[in-house]
Amino acid sequence: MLSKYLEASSHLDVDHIENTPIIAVDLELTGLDATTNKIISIGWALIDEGKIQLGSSRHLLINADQSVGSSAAIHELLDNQIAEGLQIDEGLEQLFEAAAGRAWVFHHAALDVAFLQKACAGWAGAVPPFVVLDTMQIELRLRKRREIPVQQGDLQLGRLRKDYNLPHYTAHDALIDAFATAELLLAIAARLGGNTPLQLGPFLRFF
Amino acid sequence: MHDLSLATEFLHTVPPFNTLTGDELVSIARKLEVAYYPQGKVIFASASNQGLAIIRKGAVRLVDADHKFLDKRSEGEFFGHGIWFHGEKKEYSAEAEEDCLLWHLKESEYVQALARYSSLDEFFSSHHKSRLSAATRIKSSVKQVRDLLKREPVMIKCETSIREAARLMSQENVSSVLVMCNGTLGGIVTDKDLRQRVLAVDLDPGTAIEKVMTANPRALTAEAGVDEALLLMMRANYHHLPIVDKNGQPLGLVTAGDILRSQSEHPIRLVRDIHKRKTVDELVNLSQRLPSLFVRMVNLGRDVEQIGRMITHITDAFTVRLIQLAEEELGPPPMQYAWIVFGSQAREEQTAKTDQDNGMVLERKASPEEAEYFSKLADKVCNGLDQLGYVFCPGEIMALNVKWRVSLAKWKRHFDKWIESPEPKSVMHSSIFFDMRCVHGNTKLVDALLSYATKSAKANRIFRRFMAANVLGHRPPIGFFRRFVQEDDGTQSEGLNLKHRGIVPITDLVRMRALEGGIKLANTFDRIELSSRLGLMNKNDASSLRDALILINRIRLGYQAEQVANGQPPSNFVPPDDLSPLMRRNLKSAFMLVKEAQEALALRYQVH
Repeated sequence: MLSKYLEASSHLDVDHIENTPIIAVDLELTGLDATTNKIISIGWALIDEGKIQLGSSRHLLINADQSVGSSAAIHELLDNQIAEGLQIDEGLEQLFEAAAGRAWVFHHAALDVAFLQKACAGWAGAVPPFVVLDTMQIELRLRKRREIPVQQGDLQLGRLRKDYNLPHYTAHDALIDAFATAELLLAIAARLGGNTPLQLGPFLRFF
Repeated sequence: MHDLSLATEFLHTVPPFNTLTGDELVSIARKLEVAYYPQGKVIFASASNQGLAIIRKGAVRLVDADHKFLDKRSEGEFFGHGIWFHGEKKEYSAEAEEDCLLWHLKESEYVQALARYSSLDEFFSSHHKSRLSAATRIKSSVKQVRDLLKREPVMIKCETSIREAARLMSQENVSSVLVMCNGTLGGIVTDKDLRQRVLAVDLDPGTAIEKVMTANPRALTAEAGVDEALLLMMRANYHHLPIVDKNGQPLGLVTAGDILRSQSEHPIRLVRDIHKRKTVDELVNLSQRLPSLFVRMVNLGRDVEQIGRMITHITDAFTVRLIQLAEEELGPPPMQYAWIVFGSQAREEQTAKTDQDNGMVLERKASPEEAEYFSKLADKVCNGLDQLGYVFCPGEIMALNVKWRVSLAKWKRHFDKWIESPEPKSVMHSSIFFDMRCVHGNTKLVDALLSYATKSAKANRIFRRFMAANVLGHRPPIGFFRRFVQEDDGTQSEGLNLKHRGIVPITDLVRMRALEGGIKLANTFDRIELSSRLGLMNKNDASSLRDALILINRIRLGYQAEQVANGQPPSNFVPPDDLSPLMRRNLKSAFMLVKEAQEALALRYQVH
């Protein structure tokens, strides 16, 4: 199930941003605890040659077999909508097919990766490696290096996007946030890289 | 749930994309790439053919080659395409004035989108400039010398011997080679050079080719326009033109023949060729060019009035040539006569789908021998037209029919009958005869007939009242926005008949005005113009009818061009489902205008 992803990832050569295939991903969850909560939707967009390919974006609703409960208000997903979604295994299959040979980008990777690892264990019986760019961590590092104090909320996706003069998205779902993360990555890379495409190596994290 | 709502929601707020349906927006959004440029960064150094960049956030500065400011564009605006600055199309570069998020449609996708969605094409070709310049712009993107390159250039080094060069040329079957000196284009050698500079002067074929080449030939880059190449070759009398890339490396060679062939679809050229052909079969061959010519004219965005006139001009040329060929074969005609055409050919409003409506006006009553001559002539011309694709008129209004091959006096009696003792059916059938034009022979015969018919119709109000009733028989389909269109007999048709339900009501209404005012012009636009000037129609009504006619025709021609391009026979039917919301809205307004004009007519003649 994961063989294609594993095979392609072993050849992944992280170079500068225009030379590194990337997948930007966001998950909507029933809660923050990977051991008990579930993935209810997966959104992603691909970045090739430093540009987000709009046609590649996907939004999968997952049938979580678990009531959305109180988080429904946040995600505006109703139980019956979720019931119409894919089985998690099918969703993961599509996601990892798209992610083969790509570096991942998340905003606050630890949470999403934990959920994906847990789900993979159930689906494929194995936890695959993730080569990750985390827009939140990158920004945190930059601010620390420049000795800019970081206060609570400063590193939220929406706040950062405003700092980088990116458009404000009123709606939120997994795809919009994945897309928003992809745009933020391009913005950070453009500011940092100046006139040459940014080398991504120093910013990688491995899960 | 589709995955691109993020993109389509934004596009939907940006004109002209707001004219597209959700599905159409999705198909465009699928092709978009998102890029981010920090302040001060050059986005495109050469920006005029980079497709279309939509500014999602930020602002962009456009500057010319000398870095002079041209324009500033911000959120929801565009650049990357050909832009006219102060009436002049300029090369420009684009840089981020603020941090920019761009949505970018690549050039190839942009060109496709323009071809597919007329509202985009119209917007981007007429936003800041006339439609004429729009046509030029699209044309220049279609017709670069790049498009004429057929093969890799045949190249040799400058120290190669003449003998070897000649061998290579015959082996490669080319009439010229490019000579490379130190890795760059140093010269060109043609067949003619070998003849004049080698054979004629007995030069040793072992000599290096550089001794006989034309050194430092003029070359063009692949982006140069075909017109530019043509001009250069004509001015300097070159027959071969090397085409090079930006670094001066040869990409190929364009010959005068390549260029002339590429121009073969121009209407003027077609008309010229028609007059050179000597047999019907040759004309039939030429007529094969018509479909692609039609598609090109429509896609180049020429206005519908001009398209109608050009198509008709070609039909006239074919008609005249067939008559000339027939006269050459049958000998000179035994008396003066005129070849007269009716309907859309007379009005110069033909489109891709057209049949023949014609007749002959003879100077006097023909003797049996004379009648035999004209019968043979008609037979040759009408059959010839049929072979060329101008099919026989279903109503048999053709010179082939002895009834429409008569003397001027007899023609007048036909009109007398229609005008003085009108009845609904004859009036319906006769209206086509009130649009007439001479295409060959003695024009005075047709002028005389036209004056007579116009005068009689103007004088006879009862006849015109019958005409008015007939006009009201073709009602525009206000209710067509339901899923299916019903024709008058209640049957569900294959679509909306834009000719019968849109064009015919307008030409009928305008003809009524022409008859009231004794106007002898046949073309509907000319009739509207003159009616308005003579005060028969107020200016508002005139421009409304004109706009409605242009609009309906544009949709009809666009649809026909699509059909022809797909190898289907052109039709006047448009399935309502194929119409975009914008087209529907426009059509609805056009039909409303026609309806109002019809109501005014009904009131004027007290017919309902």
